[in-house]
Amino acid sequence: MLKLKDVNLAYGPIAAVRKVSIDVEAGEVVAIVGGNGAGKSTLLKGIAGLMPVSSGQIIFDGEEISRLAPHKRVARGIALSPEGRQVFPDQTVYDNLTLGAYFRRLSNDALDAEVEEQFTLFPRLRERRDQLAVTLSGGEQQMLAIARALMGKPRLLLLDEPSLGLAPKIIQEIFGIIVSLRKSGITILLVEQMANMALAIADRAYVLETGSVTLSGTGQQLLHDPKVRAAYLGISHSAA
Amino acid sequence: MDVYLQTLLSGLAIGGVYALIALGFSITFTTTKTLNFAQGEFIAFGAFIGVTMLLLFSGLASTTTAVPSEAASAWRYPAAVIAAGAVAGLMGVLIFLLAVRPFAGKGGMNWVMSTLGFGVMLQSIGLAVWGPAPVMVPSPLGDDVLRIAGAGVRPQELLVLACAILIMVALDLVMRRSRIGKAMMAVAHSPQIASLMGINVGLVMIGAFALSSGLAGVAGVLIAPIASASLFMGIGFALKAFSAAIIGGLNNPRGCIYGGFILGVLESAVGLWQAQWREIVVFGLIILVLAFRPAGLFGQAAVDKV
Ligand SMILES: Nc1ncnc2c1ncn2[C@@H]1O[C@H](COP(=O)(O)OP(=O)(O)O)[C@@H](O)[C@H]1O
Ligand SMILES: [Mg+2]
Repeated sequence: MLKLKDVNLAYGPIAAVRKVSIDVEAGEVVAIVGGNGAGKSTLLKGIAGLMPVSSGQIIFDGEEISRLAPHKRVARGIALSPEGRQVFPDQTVYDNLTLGAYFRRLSNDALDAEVEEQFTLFPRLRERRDQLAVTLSGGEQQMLAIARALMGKPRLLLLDEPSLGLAPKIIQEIFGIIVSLRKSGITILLVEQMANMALAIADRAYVLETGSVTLSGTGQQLLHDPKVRAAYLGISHSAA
Repeated sequence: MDVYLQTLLSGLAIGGVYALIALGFSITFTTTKTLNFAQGEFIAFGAFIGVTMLLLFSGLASTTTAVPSEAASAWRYPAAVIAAGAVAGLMGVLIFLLAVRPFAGKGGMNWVMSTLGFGVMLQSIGLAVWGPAPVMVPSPLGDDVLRIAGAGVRPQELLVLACAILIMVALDLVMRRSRIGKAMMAVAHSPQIASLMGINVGLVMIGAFALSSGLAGVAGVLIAPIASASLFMGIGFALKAFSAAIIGGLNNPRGCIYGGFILGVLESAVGLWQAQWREIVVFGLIILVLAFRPAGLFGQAAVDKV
């Protein structure tokens, strides 16, 4: 469904992603794990079109989208829930959600029905329907960010560190929702520093280090790989 | 008493014009983080396009220093206002594409120079087309002074005030309620995140410049019967409107509107007392306000949860 071929991404002269090639098949949950500054967010920005590739190809559904504007990629079915939530603080929960479906030009009734679908998935948001997004807790903002991305009816959902800064209980809740999204048929590319949880639910995963893929395999393989355990799961070789 | 009412109404009328233009500054600033420093020329062009339209609609020669009053009667004046708004709006699209977009979002202040330069070019073109002489423009409501509670009010002042309020209330509703308004708010918050919603950010920015410039054009035709149309009229209005936007808070459209009215009334009140002190007192107060409230009277500090 998504194929990256030798993708390079840079901030001016500084290369952040180097010759990355990854594949995501329809229906999979693919995780990208790696430390802070490894280039994970940059990679997702490149796929969503927020940054131009300096070289390489991004292919979605067999078509090259490397030069497509971000709003056109959304229309093709790629939605990004960005790092740090980035909800619209001065708009209500309801308006944030409807903005997620902006390009679909739905009638008010259809919008309400789809917002209701998200409320079924994220019941906490229902109670906050008319509150400004800025008044939500971090966990609720994260749910809003994911729900807003889902309002675009994406076939590929890009999630950038959905666990960032959240309490363990909320993280459990959010990972539970990711698992249920997979069951509903959405393909997911999940970026996480919380490597253990991401690898546990991922079909396949890649390890990114200073902009390059250094390791790949099934989620379980990486979860039990000594190097991964040492570097990202806080478990030393001797203990393992 | 009546003289105070008169001063208040004239202040509100001129303030309404400042508010329209200030709102235009706010619209481009929030969506593109740039300002159109040729706004003054858009006001003057608006006035002259209005003049040209009035003459055209009534089949009169285009070289004249005063538009006869029958030329502004019935449908002609509203049609001239709409035409001036539309032409200024198109010019706004041009200035965005030619002078702003190449520099917007790249850091630096090149867009200041390029919009100022665009304004200088516009003024030269205007002088070549319409000449340097001011043109008297009639009010569609005539020039007989109305008596309201003993106060003498020019009908055009009431018309300006009514139009300004109507336009601003309509825009406020559109911004807060409509799909496109919410998209503009999203772009104002973050163009990148807005694009993730499938919003065509480039198009919204073009629309913001068209709207902002259209407002300046409309303001030009509205004020022309009071101030006369002149290619040199714009800079004064644009500077006052810019000040109004600053004291109201550039990031806050409603604040800019309040700023416009406050400035208009203040200016009118000081003028009543000592006309020659008007500009000094007005700008002195603006500096004072900014010293104590750097974000403007109604400017909000950024509220963002990390
Ligand atoms: N806006 C930016 N400008 C310049 N460099 C950046 C910017 N954002 C990230 N970087 C750099 O790019 C590299 C990758 O960052 P990022 O993709 O955010 O990593 P991650 O998401 O894996 O933590 C880092 O070295 C970071 O310092
Ligand atoms: Mg990141």
